[in-house]
Amino acid sequence: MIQIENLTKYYGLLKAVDNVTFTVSKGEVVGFLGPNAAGKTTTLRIITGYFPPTTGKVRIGDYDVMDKPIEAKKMIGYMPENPPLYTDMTVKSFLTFAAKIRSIPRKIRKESIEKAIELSGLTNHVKFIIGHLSKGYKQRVALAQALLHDPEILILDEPTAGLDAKERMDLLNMIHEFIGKKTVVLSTHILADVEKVCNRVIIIHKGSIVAEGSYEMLSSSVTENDRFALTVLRNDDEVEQELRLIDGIINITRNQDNPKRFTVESIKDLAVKEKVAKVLVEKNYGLIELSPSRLPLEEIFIELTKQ
Amino acid sequence: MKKILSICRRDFTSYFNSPIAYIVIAIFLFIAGNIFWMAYSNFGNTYRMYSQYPWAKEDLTLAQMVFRPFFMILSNILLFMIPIITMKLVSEEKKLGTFEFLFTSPVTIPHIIFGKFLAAASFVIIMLLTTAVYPLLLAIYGKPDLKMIASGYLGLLVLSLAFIALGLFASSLTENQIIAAIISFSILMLFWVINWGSRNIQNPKIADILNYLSIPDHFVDFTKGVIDTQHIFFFLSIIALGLFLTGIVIQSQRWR
Ligand SMILES: Nc1ncnc2c1ncn2[C@@H]1O[C@H](COP(=O)(O)OP(=O)(O)OP(=O)(O)O)[C@@H](O)[C@H]1O
Ligand SMILES: [Mg+2]
Repeated sequence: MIQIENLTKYYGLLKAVDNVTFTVSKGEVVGFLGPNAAGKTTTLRIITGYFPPTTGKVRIGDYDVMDKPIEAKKMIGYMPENPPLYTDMTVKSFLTFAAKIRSIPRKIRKESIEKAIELSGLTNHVKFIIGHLSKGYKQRVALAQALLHDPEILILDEPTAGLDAKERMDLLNMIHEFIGKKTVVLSTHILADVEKVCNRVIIIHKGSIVAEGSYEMLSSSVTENDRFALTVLRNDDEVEQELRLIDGIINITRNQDNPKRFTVESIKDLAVKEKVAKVLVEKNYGLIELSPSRLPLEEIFIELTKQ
Repeated sequence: MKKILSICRRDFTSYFNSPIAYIVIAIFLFIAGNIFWMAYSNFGNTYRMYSQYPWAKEDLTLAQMVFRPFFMILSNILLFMIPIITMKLVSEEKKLGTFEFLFTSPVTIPHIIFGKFLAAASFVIIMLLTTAVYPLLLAIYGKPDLKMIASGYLGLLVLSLAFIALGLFASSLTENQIIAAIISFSILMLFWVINWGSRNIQNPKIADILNYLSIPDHFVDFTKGVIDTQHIFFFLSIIALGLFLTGIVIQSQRWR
Protein backbone atom coordinates (compact mmCIF):
# COMPACT_ATOMS: atom_id res chain seq x y z
CA MET A 1 0.00 0.00 0.00
CA ILE A 2 2.84 2.37 0.86
CA GLN A 3 6.17 1.79 -0.81
CA ILE A 4 9.10 4.00 -0.01
CA GLU A 5 12.35 3.64 -1.87
CA ASN A 6 15.68 5.25 -1.09
CA LEU A 7 14.16 8.40 0.29
CA THR A 8 16.62 11.18 1.07
CA LYS A 9 15.78 14.70 2.11
CA TYR A 10 18.13 17.58 2.66
CA TYR A 11 17.12 20.83 4.31
CA GLY A 12 19.89 22.97 2.91
CA LEU A 13 22.95 21.08 4.05
CA LEU A 14 21.20 19.14 6.78
CA LYS A 15 20.41 15.56 5.86
CA ALA A 16 17.13 14.95 7.68
CA VAL A 17 16.25 11.66 5.99
CA ASP A 18 18.96 9.36 4.70
CA ASN A 19 18.18 6.69 2.14
CA VAL A 20 15.08 5.31 3.83
CA THR A 21 13.34 2.30 2.31
CA PHE A 22 10.33 0.49 3.69
CA THR A 23 6.89 -0.77 2.73
CA VAL A 24 3.63 -0.97 4.59
CA SER A 25 1.11 -3.47 3.34
CA LYS A 26 -2.62 -3.13 3.27
CA GLY A 27 -4.28 -3.51 6.64
CA GLU A 28 -1.08 -3.10 8.62
CA VAL A 29 -0.77 -0.73 11.55
CA VAL A 30 2.85 0.30 11.75
CA GLY A 31 4.52 2.25 14.53
CA PHE A 32 7.04 4.78 13.32
CA LEU A 33 9.42 5.52 16.15
CA GLY A 34 12.51 7.57 16.66
CA PRO A 35 14.00 10.09 19.03
CA ASN A 36 13.49 13.82 18.51
CA ALA A 37 14.83 15.11 15.20
CA ALA A 38 15.14 11.57 13.83
CA GLY A 39 13.30 12.56 10.64
CA LYS A 40 9.87 11.09 11.32
CA THR A 41 7.84 14.18 10.51
CA THR A 42 9.98 14.85 7.45
CA THR A 43 9.38 11.32 6.15
CA LEU A 44 5.64 11.50 6.77
CA ARG A 45 5.43 14.88 5.04
CA ILE A 46 7.08 13.41 1.97
CA ILE A 47 4.73 10.42 1.99
CA THR A 48 1.71 12.73 2.15
CA GLY A 49 3.04 14.89 -0.66
CA TYR A 50 3.54 18.03 1.40
CA PHE A 51 6.94 18.41 -0.19
CA PRO A 52 9.02 16.27 -2.52
CA PRO A 53 12.11 14.34 -1.37
CA THR A 54 15.56 15.35 -2.54
CA THR A 55 15.83 11.88 -4.08
CA GLY A 56 13.80 8.71 -3.87
CA LYS A 57 10.32 7.46 -4.63
CA VAL A 58 7.04 7.08 -2.80
CA ARG A 59 4.21 4.95 -4.10
CA ILE A 60 0.75 5.10 -2.57
CA GLY A 61 -1.39 2.24 -3.83
CA ASP A 62 -0.85 2.31 -7.58
CA TYR A 63 0.25 5.92 -7.71
CA ASP A 64 3.56 7.68 -7.46
CA VAL A 65 3.07 10.64 -5.14
CA MET A 66 5.04 12.93 -7.38
CA ASP A 67 3.60 11.86 -10.73
CA LYS A 68 -0.01 11.43 -9.66
CA PRO A 69 -0.31 13.61 -6.57
CA ILE A 70 -4.07 14.12 -6.73
CA GLU A 71 -4.88 10.42 -6.94
CA ALA A 72 -2.38 9.53 -4.22
CA LYS A 73 -3.55 12.27 -1.87
CA LYS A 74 -7.15 11.18 -2.24
CA MET A 75 -6.26 7.88 -0.61
CA ILE A 76 -4.57 9.43 2.41
CA GLY A 77 -5.92 10.94 5.59
CA TYR A 78 -3.17 12.90 7.29
CA MET A 79 -3.02 14.25 10.78
CA PRO A 80 0.06 16.47 11.00
CA GLU A 81 2.12 17.04 14.12
CA ASN A 82 0.94 20.14 16.06
CA PRO A 83 -1.90 20.37 13.55
CA PRO A 84 -1.99 23.59 11.57
CA LEU A 85 -5.58 24.83 11.40
CA TYR A 86 -7.44 27.91 10.21
CA THR A 87 -7.87 29.54 13.59
CA ASP A 88 -10.61 31.92 12.48
CA MET A 89 -13.01 29.27 11.17
CA THR A 90 -15.54 27.29 13.12
CA VAL A 91 -15.10 23.54 13.40
CA LYS A 92 -18.07 22.96 11.14
CA SER A 93 -17.07 25.41 8.43
CA PHE A 94 -13.51 24.07 8.39
CA LEU A 95 -14.69 20.48 8.00
CA THR A 96 -17.12 21.55 5.29
CA PHE A 97 -14.27 23.25 3.46
CA ALA A 98 -12.08 20.17 3.86
CA ALA A 99 -14.89 17.98 2.53
CA LYS A 100 -15.28 20.21 -0.51
CA ILE A 101 -11.65 20.29 -1.51
CA ARG A 102 -11.56 16.53 -1.04
CA SER A 103 -14.46 16.43 -3.52
CA ILE A 104 -16.68 14.37 -1.26
CA PRO A 105 -19.92 14.24 -3.24
CA ARG A 106 -22.59 16.62 -2.02
CA LYS A 107 -24.96 13.74 -1.32
CA ILE A 108 -22.79 12.17 1.35
CA ARG A 109 -20.98 15.31 2.49
CA LYS A 110 -23.16 16.06 5.45
CA GLU A 111 -23.13 12.47 6.56
CA SER A 112 -19.33 12.20 6.24
CA ILE A 113 -18.82 15.35 8.26
CA GLU A 114 -21.14 14.18 10.99
CA LYS A 115 -19.47 10.82 11.18
CA ALA A 116 -16.00 12.36 11.44
CA ILE A 117 -17.26 14.74 14.13
CA GLU A 118 -18.66 11.87 16.10
CA LEU A 119 -15.57 9.67 15.74
CA SER A 120 -13.34 12.49 16.97
CA GLY A 121 -15.54 13.40 19.90
CA LEU A 122 -16.36 16.88 18.65
CA THR A 123 -20.14 16.64 18.78
CA ASN A 124 -20.49 19.43 21.34
CA HIS A 125 -17.96 21.71 19.72
CA VAL A 126 -19.05 22.07 16.11
CA LYS A 127 -19.88 25.75 16.45
CA PHE A 128 -16.64 26.68 18.21
CA ILE A 129 -14.07 28.88 16.55
CA ILE A 130 -11.01 26.69 16.15
CA GLY A 131 -8.66 29.30 17.62
CA HIS A 132 -10.68 29.20 20.84
CA LEU A 133 -10.43 25.44 21.31
CA SER A 134 -8.05 23.80 23.77
CA LYS A 135 -5.04 21.93 22.40
CA GLY A 136 -6.69 18.55 22.71
CA TYR A 137 -9.76 19.71 20.86
CA LYS A 138 -7.66 21.24 18.09
CA GLN A 139 -6.03 17.84 17.86
CA ARG A 140 -9.46 16.29 17.46
CA VAL A 141 -10.33 18.70 14.66
CA ALA A 142 -7.23 17.55 12.83
CA LEU A 143 -8.26 13.96 13.42
CA ALA A 144 -11.77 14.62 12.12
CA GLN A 145 -10.28 16.20 9.02
CA ALA A 146 -8.12 13.13 8.45
CA LEU A 147 -11.06 10.72 8.80
CA LEU A 148 -13.47 12.78 6.72
CA HIS A 149 -13.17 10.90 3.45
CA ASP A 150 -12.85 7.49 5.08
CA PRO A 151 -9.36 7.09 3.61
CA GLU A 152 -7.67 3.78 2.97
CA ILE A 153 -4.45 5.09 4.43
CA LEU A 154 -4.02 7.05 7.64
CA ILE A 155 -0.81 8.87 8.43
CA LEU A 156 -0.81 10.06 12.02
CA ASP A 157 2.04 12.19 13.37
CA GLU A 158 1.92 12.09 17.17
CA PRO A 159 -1.87 11.95 17.22
CA THR A 160 -2.21 11.36 20.95
CA ALA A 161 -0.10 14.36 21.98
CA GLY A 162 -2.32 16.63 24.04
CA LEU A 163 -5.25 14.25 24.33
CA ASP A 164 -6.79 13.41 27.68
CA ALA A 165 -6.72 9.83 28.94
CA LYS A 166 -10.15 8.87 27.70
CA GLU A 167 -9.79 10.41 24.28
CA ARG A 168 -6.39 8.79 23.94
CA MET A 169 -7.86 5.38 24.75
CA ASP A 170 -10.70 5.99 22.31
CA LEU A 171 -8.28 6.93 19.57
CA LEU A 172 -6.08 3.91 20.23
CA ASN A 173 -9.09 1.64 20.22
CA MET A 174 -10.19 3.15 16.96
CA ILE A 175 -6.76 2.58 15.44
CA HIS A 176 -6.81 -0.96 16.78
CA GLU A 177 -10.11 -1.52 14.99
CA PHE A 178 -8.45 -0.45 11.76
CA ILE A 179 -6.10 -3.45 11.78
CA GLY A 180 -6.87 -5.43 8.65
CA LYS A 181 -9.08 -2.67 7.24
CA LYS A 182 -6.96 0.43 6.87
CA THR A 183 -3.27 0.99 6.45
CA VAL A 184 -1.96 3.09 9.28
CA VAL A 185 1.40 4.70 9.99
CA LEU A 186 1.54 5.97 13.54
CA SER A 187 4.41 8.14 14.68
CA THR A 188 4.63 8.70 18.41
CA HIS A 189 6.91 9.01 21.41
CA ILE A 190 4.57 7.06 23.65
CA LEU A 191 5.84 3.52 23.31
CA ALA A 192 2.93 2.12 25.29
CA ASP A 193 0.61 3.35 22.52
CA VAL A 194 2.66 1.55 19.93
CA GLU A 195 2.66 -1.68 21.91
CA LYS A 196 -1.08 -1.46 22.19
CA VAL A 197 -1.99 -1.06 18.55
CA CYS A 198 0.89 -1.78 16.19
CA ASN A 199 1.79 -5.12 14.74
CA ARG A 200 5.07 -3.86 13.38
CA VAL A 201 7.54 -1.16 14.30
CA ILE A 202 9.97 0.88 12.25
CA ILE A 203 12.64 2.69 14.21
CA ILE A 204 14.40 5.61 12.60
CA HIS A 205 17.42 7.35 14.03
CA LYS A 206 19.38 10.28 12.61
CA GLY A 207 17.51 9.92 9.34
CA SER A 208 18.14 6.20 8.81
CA ILE A 209 16.13 3.13 9.69
CA VAL A 210 17.93 1.23 12.45
CA ALA A 211 15.44 -1.57 12.95
CA GLU A 212 12.17 -2.80 11.60
CA GLY A 213 9.89 -5.73 12.27
CA SER A 214 7.76 -7.35 14.95
CA TYR A 215 8.71 -6.97 18.62
CA GLU A 216 10.31 -10.43 18.65
CA MET A 217 12.47 -9.51 15.70
CA LEU A 218 13.45 -6.21 17.25
CA SER A 219 14.20 -7.87 20.51
CA SER A 220 16.44 -10.46 18.88
CA SER A 221 18.24 -7.73 16.98
CA VAL A 222 19.24 -6.14 20.27
CA THR A 223 20.12 -9.25 22.27
CA GLU A 224 21.10 -12.81 21.51
CA ASN A 225 19.70 -14.07 24.78
CA ASP A 226 16.41 -15.70 25.57
CA ARG A 227 13.98 -14.21 28.03
CA PHE A 228 11.11 -15.80 29.83
CA ALA A 229 8.84 -15.06 32.75
CA LEU A 230 7.79 -17.44 35.49
CA THR A 231 5.57 -17.27 38.50
CA VAL A 232 5.59 -19.50 41.57
CA LEU A 233 3.26 -19.78 44.51
CA ARG A 234 5.75 -20.41 47.35
CA ASN A 235 9.23 -19.73 48.69
CA ASP A 236 10.26 -17.09 46.18
CA ASP A 237 13.60 -16.33 47.85
CA GLU A 238 14.56 -19.97 47.71
CA VAL A 239 13.49 -20.09 44.07
CA GLU A 240 15.87 -17.29 43.24
CA GLN A 241 18.75 -19.19 44.92
CA GLU A 242 17.93 -22.34 43.00
CA LEU A 243 17.68 -20.56 39.69
CA ARG A 244 21.06 -18.92 40.14
CA LEU A 245 22.62 -22.38 40.40
CA ILE A 246 21.45 -23.40 36.96
CA ASP A 247 24.04 -23.12 34.20
CA GLY A 248 23.26 -20.78 31.33
CA ILE A 249 21.17 -18.33 33.31
CA ILE A 250 22.50 -14.84 32.90
CA ASN A 251 20.21 -12.60 34.85
CA ILE A 252 17.21 -12.83 37.14
CA THR A 253 14.94 -9.96 38.02
CA ARG A 254 11.97 -9.98 40.36
CA ASN A 255 8.82 -8.18 39.48
CA GLN A 256 8.49 -5.11 41.71
CA ASP A 257 4.78 -5.47 42.36
CA ASN A 258 4.77 -9.25 42.59
CA PRO A 259 7.93 -10.76 44.08
CA LYS A 260 6.76 -14.25 43.12
CA ARG A 261 7.11 -13.33 39.44
CA PHE A 262 10.54 -13.52 37.85
CA THR A 263 11.98 -12.47 34.54
CA VAL A 264 14.85 -14.70 33.56
CA GLU A 265 17.46 -14.00 30.92
CA SER A 266 19.32 -17.03 29.68
CA ILE A 267 21.45 -18.20 26.82
CA LYS A 268 19.51 -19.38 23.81
CA ASP A 269 19.18 -23.04 24.69
CA LEU A 270 16.01 -24.97 25.32
CA ALA A 271 17.83 -27.23 27.79
CA VAL A 272 18.04 -24.30 30.18
CA LYS A 273 14.30 -23.82 30.17
CA GLU A 274 13.72 -27.51 30.63
CA LYS A 275 16.08 -27.55 33.60
CA VAL A 276 14.31 -24.59 35.16
CA ALA A 277 10.90 -26.21 34.83
CA LYS A 278 12.20 -29.48 36.20
CA VAL A 279 13.80 -27.92 39.27
CA LEU A 280 10.78 -25.82 40.13
CA VAL A 281 8.36 -28.68 39.77
CA GLU A 282 10.50 -31.19 41.64
CA LYS A 283 10.94 -28.86 44.59
CA ASN A 284 7.21 -28.21 44.53
CA TYR A 285 7.35 -24.42 44.52
CA GLY A 286 4.00 -24.24 42.81
CA LEU A 287 5.05 -23.22 39.29
CA ILE A 288 1.96 -21.66 37.73
CA GLU A 289 3.44 -19.72 34.80
CA LEU A 290 6.34 -20.17 32.44
CA SER A 291 6.07 -17.99 29.36
CA PRO A 292 8.31 -16.39 26.78
CA SER A 293 9.00 -12.76 27.41
CA ARG A 294 10.70 -10.00 25.52
CA LEU A 295 12.61 -6.87 26.23
CA PRO A 296 10.34 -3.96 26.97
CA LEU A 297 10.03 -1.73 23.89
CA GLU A 298 11.65 1.10 25.84
CA GLU A 299 14.82 -0.90 26.28
CA ILE A 300 14.92 -1.97 22.65
CA PHE A 301 14.32 1.59 21.59
CA ILE A 302 17.01 3.07 23.81
CA GLU A 303 19.46 0.37 22.82
CA LEU A 304 18.87 0.93 19.10
CA THR A 305 19.10 4.69 19.26
CA LYS A 306 22.00 4.87 21.69
CA GLN A 307 24.87 6.16 19.63
CA MET B 1 -13.24 24.44 -10.88
CA LYS B 2 -15.24 23.40 -7.83
CA LYS B 3 -12.05 23.26 -5.80
CA ILE B 4 -11.13 26.76 -6.95
CA LEU B 5 -14.53 28.02 -5.87
CA SER B 6 -14.28 26.27 -2.51
CA ILE B 7 -10.93 27.89 -1.83
CA CYS B 8 -12.27 31.22 -3.09
CA ARG B 9 -15.22 30.97 -0.77
CA ARG B 10 -13.10 30.11 2.24
CA ASP B 11 -10.74 33.01 1.70
CA PHE B 12 -13.59 35.37 0.92
CA THR B 13 -15.57 34.54 4.07
CA SER B 14 -12.42 34.69 6.14
CA TYR B 15 -12.13 38.40 5.21
CA PHE B 16 -15.23 38.99 7.28
CA ASN B 17 -13.84 37.15 10.30
CA SER B 18 -11.55 40.08 10.96
CA PRO B 19 -12.35 43.77 11.38
CA ILE B 20 -9.90 44.76 8.64
CA ALA B 21 -12.43 43.99 5.91
CA TYR B 22 -15.05 46.24 7.43
CA ILE B 23 -12.56 49.02 8.02
CA VAL B 24 -11.31 48.84 4.44
CA ILE B 25 -14.82 48.93 3.00
CA ALA B 26 -15.91 51.76 5.28
CA ILE B 27 -12.89 53.91 4.50
CA PHE B 28 -13.19 53.22 0.81
CA LEU B 29 -16.87 54.13 0.65
CA PHE B 30 -16.33 57.20 2.75
CA ILE B 31 -13.50 58.52 0.62
CA ALA B 32 -15.26 57.65 -2.62
CA GLY B 33 -18.40 59.48 -1.45
CA ASN B 34 -16.39 62.48 -0.41
CA ILE B 35 -14.51 62.74 -3.66
CA PHE B 36 -17.66 62.40 -5.61
CA TRP B 37 -19.44 65.03 -3.60
CA MET B 38 -16.53 67.45 -3.82
CA ALA B 39 -16.09 66.94 -7.54
CA TYR B 40 -19.79 67.38 -8.06
CA SER B 41 -20.18 70.56 -6.01
CA ASN B 42 -17.04 71.94 -7.60
CA PHE B 43 -18.61 71.21 -10.95
CA GLY B 44 -21.81 72.99 -9.91
CA ASN B 45 -19.98 76.11 -8.81
CA THR B 46 -17.73 76.26 -11.82
CA TYR B 47 -20.68 75.69 -14.10
CA ARG B 48 -22.57 78.64 -12.65
CA MET B 49 -19.54 80.88 -13.00
CA TYR B 50 -18.40 80.00 -16.48
CA SER B 51 -21.28 78.48 -18.39
CA GLN B 52 -22.03 81.75 -20.24
CA TYR B 53 -18.59 81.68 -21.88
CA PRO B 54 -18.67 79.61 -25.04
CA TRP B 55 -14.92 78.65 -24.80
CA ALA B 56 -15.58 76.88 -21.53
CA LYS B 57 -18.46 74.79 -22.80
CA GLU B 58 -16.33 71.86 -23.83
CA ASP B 59 -14.70 71.32 -20.44
CA LEU B 60 -17.80 71.99 -18.42
CA THR B 61 -19.24 68.52 -18.61
CA LEU B 62 -19.97 65.94 -15.93
CA ALA B 63 -17.61 63.64 -17.74
CA GLN B 64 -14.68 66.03 -17.60
CA MET B 65 -15.23 67.55 -14.19
CA VAL B 66 -16.76 64.77 -12.14
CA PHE B 67 -16.12 61.33 -13.54
CA ARG B 68 -12.55 61.69 -14.66
CA PRO B 69 -11.28 62.93 -11.30
CA PHE B 70 -13.54 60.44 -9.53
CA PHE B 71 -12.05 57.47 -11.36
CA MET B 72 -8.51 58.80 -11.18
CA ILE B 73 -8.69 59.30 -7.44
CA LEU B 74 -10.37 55.93 -6.88
CA SER B 75 -7.49 54.28 -8.71
CA ASN B 76 -5.14 56.06 -6.32
CA ILE B 77 -7.03 54.81 -3.30
CA LEU B 78 -6.98 51.27 -4.64
CA LEU B 79 -3.22 51.57 -4.74
CA PHE B 80 -3.32 51.82 -0.95
CA MET B 81 -6.23 49.52 -0.25
CA ILE B 82 -5.42 46.48 -2.36
CA PRO B 83 -2.15 45.66 -0.60
CA ILE B 84 -4.20 45.46 2.60
CA ILE B 85 -6.72 43.18 0.94
CA THR B 86 -4.11 40.84 -0.52
CA MET B 87 -1.57 40.84 2.30
CA LYS B 88 -2.80 37.79 4.17
CA LEU B 89 -3.78 35.59 1.23
CA VAL B 90 -0.63 33.48 1.16
CA SER B 91 1.37 34.79 4.11
CA GLU B 92 -1.23 33.69 6.62
CA GLU B 93 -1.26 30.13 5.27
CA LYS B 94 2.47 30.05 5.74
CA LYS B 95 2.34 31.50 9.21
CA LEU B 96 -0.41 29.14 10.41
CA GLY B 97 1.19 26.22 8.59
CA THR B 98 -2.10 25.48 6.86
CA PHE B 99 -0.31 24.97 3.57
CA GLU B 100 0.49 21.55 5.02
CA PHE B 101 -3.24 20.90 5.05
CA LEU B 102 -3.81 22.30 1.54
CA PHE B 103 -0.82 20.61 -0.08
CA THR B 104 -1.70 17.22 1.37
CA SER B 105 -5.27 17.56 0.09
CA PRO B 106 -6.01 16.72 -3.52
CA VAL B 107 -5.67 20.27 -4.80
CA THR B 108 -3.01 21.78 -7.05
CA ILE B 109 -1.12 25.04 -6.74
CA PRO B 110 -3.16 26.62 -9.59
CA HIS B 111 -6.35 25.73 -7.68
CA ILE B 112 -4.99 27.55 -4.66
CA ILE B 113 -3.75 30.59 -6.58
CA PHE B 114 -6.89 31.08 -8.66
CA GLY B 115 -9.07 30.52 -5.61
CA LYS B 116 -7.27 33.19 -3.66
CA PHE B 117 -7.14 35.56 -6.61
CA LEU B 118 -10.88 35.24 -7.08
CA ALA B 119 -11.53 35.76 -3.38
CA ALA B 120 -9.71 39.08 -3.36
CA ALA B 121 -11.26 39.98 -6.72
CA SER B 122 -14.76 39.35 -5.38
CA PHE B 123 -14.04 41.53 -2.39
CA VAL B 124 -12.77 44.41 -4.54
CA ILE B 125 -15.60 44.06 -7.03
CA ILE B 126 -18.12 44.38 -4.22
CA MET B 127 -16.26 47.44 -2.99
CA LEU B 128 -16.31 48.99 -6.45
CA LEU B 129 -19.96 48.15 -7.04
CA THR B 130 -21.00 49.91 -3.87
CA THR B 131 -19.33 53.11 -5.06
CA ALA B 132 -21.40 52.91 -8.22
CA VAL B 133 -24.26 54.28 -6.14
CA TYR B 134 -22.85 57.76 -6.45
CA PRO B 135 -22.65 58.08 -10.22
CA LEU B 136 -25.93 56.26 -10.62
CA LEU B 137 -27.61 58.75 -8.30
CA LEU B 138 -26.83 61.32 -10.95
CA ALA B 139 -28.75 59.26 -13.45
CA ILE B 140 -31.89 60.02 -11.46
CA TYR B 141 -31.43 63.76 -11.78
CA GLY B 142 -29.63 64.18 -15.06
CA LYS B 143 -28.31 62.11 -17.83
CA PRO B 144 -24.67 61.24 -17.24
CA ASP B 145 -22.75 59.49 -19.97
CA LEU B 146 -23.39 55.83 -19.03
CA LYS B 147 -20.88 54.54 -21.52
CA MET B 148 -18.24 56.58 -19.82
CA ILE B 149 -19.20 55.30 -16.40
CA ALA B 150 -19.02 51.75 -17.69
CA SER B 151 -15.64 52.33 -19.24
CA GLY B 152 -14.33 53.92 -16.05
CA TYR B 153 -15.45 50.95 -14.00
CA LEU B 154 -14.01 48.51 -16.50
CA GLY B 155 -10.72 50.35 -16.12
CA LEU B 156 -10.94 50.18 -12.33
CA LEU B 157 -11.71 46.47 -12.58
CA VAL B 158 -8.73 45.49 -14.72
CA LEU B 159 -6.51 47.81 -12.70
CA SER B 160 -7.69 46.19 -9.46
CA LEU B 161 -7.17 42.68 -10.80
CA ALA B 162 -3.63 43.58 -11.80
CA PHE B 163 -3.00 45.05 -8.35
CA ILE B 164 -4.40 41.91 -6.74
CA ALA B 165 -2.17 39.63 -8.81
CA LEU B 166 0.89 41.64 -7.78
CA GLY B 167 -0.30 41.75 -4.17
CA LEU B 168 -0.77 37.99 -4.17
CA PHE B 169 2.78 37.61 -5.39
CA ALA B 170 4.05 39.89 -2.61
CA SER B 171 2.06 37.89 -0.09
CA SER B 172 3.75 34.68 -1.21
CA LEU B 173 7.18 36.09 -0.41
CA THR B 174 6.81 36.28 3.37
CA GLU B 175 4.82 34.94 6.27
CA ASN B 176 4.42 38.39 7.78
CA GLN B 177 1.27 40.17 6.62
CA ILE B 178 2.61 43.66 7.25
CA ILE B 179 5.76 42.98 5.29
CA ALA B 180 3.61 41.54 2.49
CA ALA B 181 1.56 44.75 2.42
CA ILE B 182 4.69 46.89 2.32
CA ILE B 183 6.21 44.83 -0.50
CA SER B 184 3.06 44.93 -2.60
CA PHE B 185 2.59 48.64 -2.00
CA SER B 186 6.19 49.20 -3.12
CA ILE B 187 5.67 47.15 -6.28
CA LEU B 188 2.47 49.00 -7.14
CA MET B 189 4.09 52.33 -6.41
CA LEU B 190 6.97 51.43 -8.70
CA PHE B 191 4.57 50.72 -11.56
CA TRP B 192 2.79 53.95 -10.73
CA VAL B 193 5.77 56.30 -10.92
CA ILE B 194 7.93 54.29 -13.27
CA ASN B 195 7.93 56.85 -16.07
CA TRP B 196 8.17 59.95 -13.95
CA GLY B 197 11.12 61.78 -15.30
CA SER B 198 11.32 59.58 -18.37
CA ARG B 199 11.42 62.78 -20.42
CA ASN B 200 14.90 63.40 -19.11
CA ILE B 201 16.15 60.00 -20.24
CA GLN B 202 18.33 60.30 -23.34
CA ASN B 203 17.83 56.81 -24.68
CA PRO B 204 14.40 56.83 -26.36
CA LYS B 205 14.09 53.03 -26.20
CA ILE B 206 14.36 52.99 -22.43
CA ALA B 207 11.97 55.89 -22.14
CA ASP B 208 9.47 54.00 -24.30
CA ILE B 209 9.73 50.91 -22.14
CA LEU B 210 9.25 52.92 -18.97
CA ASN B 211 6.26 54.67 -20.48
CA TYR B 212 4.79 51.37 -21.55
CA LEU B 213 5.10 49.95 -18.03
CA SER B 214 3.37 52.92 -16.43
CA ILE B 215 0.04 51.83 -14.98
CA PRO B 216 -1.59 55.31 -14.91
CA ASP B 217 -0.80 55.81 -18.60
CA HIS B 218 -2.77 52.68 -19.43
CA PHE B 219 -5.54 53.54 -17.06
CA VAL B 220 -6.23 57.13 -18.09
CA ASP B 221 -7.96 56.28 -21.38
CA PHE B 222 -10.61 54.32 -19.52
CA THR B 223 -11.52 57.44 -17.55
CA LYS B 224 -12.07 59.27 -20.82
CA GLY B 225 -14.56 56.68 -21.96
CA VAL B 226 -12.12 55.06 -24.36
CA ILE B 227 -11.82 51.28 -24.19
CA ASP B 228 -8.64 50.26 -25.96
CA THR B 229 -7.80 46.55 -26.21
CA GLN B 230 -4.13 47.46 -26.02
CA HIS B 231 -4.64 48.66 -22.46
CA ILE B 232 -6.73 45.66 -21.56
CA PHE B 233 -3.97 43.46 -22.90
CA PHE B 234 -1.46 45.31 -20.73
CA PHE B 235 -3.44 44.70 -17.54
CA LEU B 236 -4.12 41.08 -18.44
CA SER B 237 -0.38 40.59 -18.92
CA ILE B 238 0.31 42.02 -15.48
CA ILE B 239 -2.31 39.66 -14.01
CA ALA B 240 -0.77 36.67 -15.76
CA LEU B 241 2.70 37.69 -14.65
CA GLY B 242 1.64 38.14 -11.02
CA LEU B 243 -0.14 34.79 -10.84
CA PHE B 244 2.69 33.01 -12.61
CA LEU B 245 5.31 34.41 -10.25
CA THR B 246 3.18 33.49 -7.25
CA GLY B 247 3.06 29.91 -8.51
CA ILE B 248 6.83 29.83 -8.99
CA VAL B 249 7.44 31.15 -5.47
CA ILE B 250 5.04 28.73 -3.79
CA GLN B 251 6.37 25.77 -5.74
CA SER B 252 10.01 26.63 -5.12
CA GLN B 253 9.41 26.98 -1.40
CA ARG B 254 8.25 23.38 -1.28
CA TRP B 255 11.56 22.26 -2.69
CA ARG B 256 13.68 23.81 0.01
N1 LIG C 1 11.56 23.04 7.56
C1 LIG C 1 12.76 22.68 8.03
N2 LIG C 1 13.85 23.38 7.71
C2 LIG C 1 15.07 23.01 8.15
N3 LIG C 1 15.31 21.95 8.92
C3 LIG C 1 14.25 21.20 9.29
C4 LIG C 1 12.93 21.53 8.87
N4 LIG C 1 12.09 20.61 9.37
C5 LIG C 1 12.85 19.76 10.09
N5 LIG C 1 14.15 20.10 10.04
C6 LIG C 1 15.26 19.36 10.67
O1 LIG C 1 15.24 18.03 10.18
C7 LIG C 1 15.53 17.11 11.23
C8 LIG C 1 14.40 16.09 11.33
O2 LIG C 1 13.25 16.75 11.78
P1 LIG C 1 11.84 16.03 11.95
O3 LIG C 1 10.86 17.09 12.26
O4 LIG C 1 11.58 15.19 10.76
O5 LIG C 1 12.10 15.12 13.22
P2 LIG C 1 11.08 14.23 14.04
O6 LIG C 1 11.61 12.85 14.00
O7 LIG C 1 9.69 14.43 13.57
O8 LIG C 1 11.26 14.83 15.51
P3 LIG C 1 10.18 14.99 16.69
O9 LIG C 1 10.10 13.69 17.36
O10 LIG C 1 10.84 16.01 17.58
O11 LIG C 1 8.91 15.45 16.09
C9 LIG C 1 15.71 17.95 12.47
O12 LIG C 1 17.10 18.10 12.68
C10 LIG C 1 15.08 19.26 12.15
O13 LIG C 1 15.74 20.30 12.82
MG1 LIG D 1 7.99 15.12 14.43
